[in-house]
Amino acid sequence: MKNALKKAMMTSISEVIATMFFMPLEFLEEESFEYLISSSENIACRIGFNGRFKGSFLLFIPENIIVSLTENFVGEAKVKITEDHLIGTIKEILNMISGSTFSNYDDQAVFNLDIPEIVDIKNISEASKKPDYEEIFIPIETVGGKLGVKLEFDQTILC
Amino acid sequence: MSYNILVVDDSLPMRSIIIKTIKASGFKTSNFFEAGNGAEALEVLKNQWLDLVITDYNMPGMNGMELIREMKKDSIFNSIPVLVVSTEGSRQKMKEFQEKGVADYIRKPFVPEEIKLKITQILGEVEDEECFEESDDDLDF
Repeated sequence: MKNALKKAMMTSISEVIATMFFMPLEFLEEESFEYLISSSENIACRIGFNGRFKGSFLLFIPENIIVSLTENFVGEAKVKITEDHLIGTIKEILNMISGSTFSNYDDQAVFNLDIPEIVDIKNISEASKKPDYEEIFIPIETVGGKLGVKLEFDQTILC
Repeated sequence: MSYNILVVDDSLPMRSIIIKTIKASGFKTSNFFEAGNGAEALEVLKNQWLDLVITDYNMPGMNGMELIREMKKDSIFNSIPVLVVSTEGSRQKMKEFQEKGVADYIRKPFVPEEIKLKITQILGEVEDEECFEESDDDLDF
């Protein structure tokens, strides 16, 4: 179950970052994401979901990478990119990774995604794991630095 | 023939990429209209003649399915083809869209060729293929 979800996440991350943004990426082996939440240069975005089980996805991404991704995505130079473009790109990346993960995991199951929201990275802690929640963290290296995607889900209501 | 196309998505970059892709595909589009959710889209529909509506599913306020339901209730809007571009990939959701009479569906993430292919199937062949190769709006990725 956890391995199948992790595989689905990795496939969807590749699809989104490589297919839509044409950015090369490498999955890393690190188990901690402390370095991603301790940097003030990083932005965090969360999207909740419910369905066969409930939980949320979190994306941690440095600002310089999101600028590069946005330039690739909308085909505009940095000078024309607005704050709305940057925030929109972060939310869209997480939205696509989440939706694609569930499609890759089980296309028969229905999962309802919430609207993605930017969260204050200072309020996120590695130690704040909820009881009964399982976590999967995928660290990624791409041009310009490291980012990460975390899935936390309630395993007590699995069907 | 030129077309009026409405792109409905709460993501500004996603609206930009869809519009750029269509322009680069050589469709002679008169006007693009944009809306951030279903309610905004209905306002545009009331004021503009449209040939195609491209909509996301998951949006704040009125989502894509609610927009399609409203369009199908209206004797004029129900004849406008709808292309859904969404992260939703479950078979049940796809079936639901099909039952609501959407013209086609593209799952995000997509490659630009998918947008061109689906719109060609809905609106007909691109009239000037050279436009695709020489367009200043050609995608930069």
